[in-house]
Amino acid sequence: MNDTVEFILPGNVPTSEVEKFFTGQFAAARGPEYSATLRFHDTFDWRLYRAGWVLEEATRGRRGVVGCYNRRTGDHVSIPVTGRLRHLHELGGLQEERDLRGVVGLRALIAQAQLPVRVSEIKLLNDDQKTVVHCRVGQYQAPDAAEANSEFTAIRLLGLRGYTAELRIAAARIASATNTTQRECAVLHRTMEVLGQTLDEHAVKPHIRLPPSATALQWMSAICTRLVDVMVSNEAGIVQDIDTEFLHDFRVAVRRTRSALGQIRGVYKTESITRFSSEFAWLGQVTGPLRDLDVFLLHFDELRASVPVELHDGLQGFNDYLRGQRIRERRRILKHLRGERYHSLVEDWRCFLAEPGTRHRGGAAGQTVVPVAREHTLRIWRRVLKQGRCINDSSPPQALHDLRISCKKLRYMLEFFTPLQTAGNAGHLTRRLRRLQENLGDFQDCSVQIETLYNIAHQTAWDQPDTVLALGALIQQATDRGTAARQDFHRRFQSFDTRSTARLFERLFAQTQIKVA
Amino acid sequence: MKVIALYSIKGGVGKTASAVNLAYMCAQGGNHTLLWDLDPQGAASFNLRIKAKLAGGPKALFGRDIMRYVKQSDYDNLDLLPADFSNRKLDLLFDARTRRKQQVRRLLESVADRYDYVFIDSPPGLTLVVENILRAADLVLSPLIPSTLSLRTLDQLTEFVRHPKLRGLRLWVFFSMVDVRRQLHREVMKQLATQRQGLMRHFIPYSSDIERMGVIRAPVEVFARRSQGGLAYRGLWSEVARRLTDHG
Repeated sequence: MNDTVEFILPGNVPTSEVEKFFTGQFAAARGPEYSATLRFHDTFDWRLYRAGWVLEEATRGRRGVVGCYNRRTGDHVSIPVTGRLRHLHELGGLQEERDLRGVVGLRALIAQAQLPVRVSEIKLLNDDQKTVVHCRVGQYQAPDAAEANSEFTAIRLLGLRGYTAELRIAAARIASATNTTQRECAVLHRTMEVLGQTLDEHAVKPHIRLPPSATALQWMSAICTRLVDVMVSNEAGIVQDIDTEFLHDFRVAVRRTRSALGQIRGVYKTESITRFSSEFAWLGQVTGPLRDLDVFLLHFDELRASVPVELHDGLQGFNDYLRGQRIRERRRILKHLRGERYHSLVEDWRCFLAEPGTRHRGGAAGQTVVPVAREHTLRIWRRVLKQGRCINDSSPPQALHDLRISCKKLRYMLEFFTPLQTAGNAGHLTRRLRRLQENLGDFQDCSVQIETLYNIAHQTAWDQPDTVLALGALIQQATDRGTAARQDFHRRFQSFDTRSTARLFERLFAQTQIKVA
Repeated sequence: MKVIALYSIKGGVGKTASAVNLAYMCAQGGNHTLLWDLDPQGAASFNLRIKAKLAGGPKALFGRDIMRYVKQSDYDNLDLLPADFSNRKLDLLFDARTRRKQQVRRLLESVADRYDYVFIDSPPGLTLVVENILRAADLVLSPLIPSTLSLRTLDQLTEFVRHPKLRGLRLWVFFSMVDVRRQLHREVMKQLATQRQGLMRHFIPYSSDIERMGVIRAPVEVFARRSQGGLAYRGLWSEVARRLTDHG
């Protein structure tokens, strides 16, 4: 892995002009020239970019070269591939593939942006005629040339291991000859600009950019608009079944919307949002079974590994069953997503958010957002404490389930109002809350899994008796895990219910001191 | 990571040419390959157009991160750790240290995740540096000119690698600089083939193309792909790679 430096020059700069930048310092040897298509691959939510990676592929016919860049370290590696890159394993099991796989997780790679490019390669040589820097000149233009300044030239200097001084000299030569400065990921950023795209548009968390003086109504409207945008942007991925996270993010946006409507009270009149609340509940309900099936299938290898080898064949029947059910559930969801009910929900909701008439505004609508945010966040926090402190060894599972829901609502509130919170406090609180949520989530997952497996085992006629035995083993595993999570609950809750957590909540919205529960 | 040392007690038998060409072919196969030029003459570095110079000399190299000194060659997947004229004093450097015979091995351990193969172009002789190399290596590839004197040195080397501390080290011998027109070469090769097991089937002929490596400063396959020398090294690397696979 070596350093990379990129420069963007406006217009079409001939390669012969670029060669002149290095005269007197390096000899230049022209390499191949070719036309290619440059594609930037990433997950839908730009996980690679956010983790510091840029994955680009230049294809010529069937042949391609994947460039893997780390924008934080400046390192790069080039990997030849045959055909279009679709999966990380096509990178051939290199260390970089393993690094990227860890970042990508469950998401699929998609071509986020692409442009045709004319590439010229130049080798910069030292006195021994040894290549010390690779220089790649790319002349780009958007296909439809919609933007007047869409034509640009990118000069990329690729350093060779052990020749960093030469790379710095070459970069300085370009900078002084063109009066430009090098930019991190310049080609990616310029490509996105030319295509009129942005990099952060699919982030699931609502990043609200409003001043603290904004009203609660403006804030609420911004949160919900952002969430409905997320829902709509994930629709295509659900329909095309690109990966399971499109449905997951869609459902999270629905859940956050429901939570905002239910918890940030008084901004809208209750009767004005009753229909939306129930319709979003419906949307959450109809998408739930497919998500449950996805979770089973995503963790199937782990489930398989958790039962005795003798029962592995029996699990195949269960796997076939899940896949069959998933096809049916997908059909059902696609019908809903294409249906009138969903579309009128999205359309009406957008209209409502854009211009809620005065008759829909509640008493808190005109208040500045900070006291409203503080009131509702602290109310849910107190509820979490109250519910958690009541739980003992004989409490029913429902008590933990209710606490889990409250924790989720509290987490969403922290995320909705992050820009208003004291820097650092929100992060600490989210981390502490997450640890509690993980425990409650584990317990809930096990409870749901036990019930689902039990129902599946009873309601389906299995060809092999081993399948029922395997399901029984899975139920036992889930029971054991659930018991362990339950036993760990008090420790987790106690490390959340501390004086220091209370202090962080007190100072979360630093304007005024809050009396602690 | 496999460490392959190109070594012979005798000098001028084709170690450097073999190290450069085999490392190049190994890298061409997609293996991350490091060629370490430990011969103070620095001929392997010269052949790859890289200056035989280590900033701070070998003392600095054996005290720091090896990657600070590695140079990327002009060929995919092939890096070089250059020679330095001060490498002639390496014996003294090692001798003053604890674990004086494990210095090379310890340095290579730090790049075990980065490289699939390390080729070492060893200096001739039986010195402390050589003992270090043999302790670090998984395989010694020893070029042998088919002459009576060379056979003596092969016997010495064979005896030397029987040392208990070198258990597990493989010694594979191949004929180098072979002139098939010479009767002596033919006879020695025939005689040794019957006497010695494990002799490599492929041999490297005496070839002007291989000599030209020093002029063109590149592996022979780069400028004379279909030459006798290029084909001979290709065949030898195929055999080495196959044997390595067979032997695990």
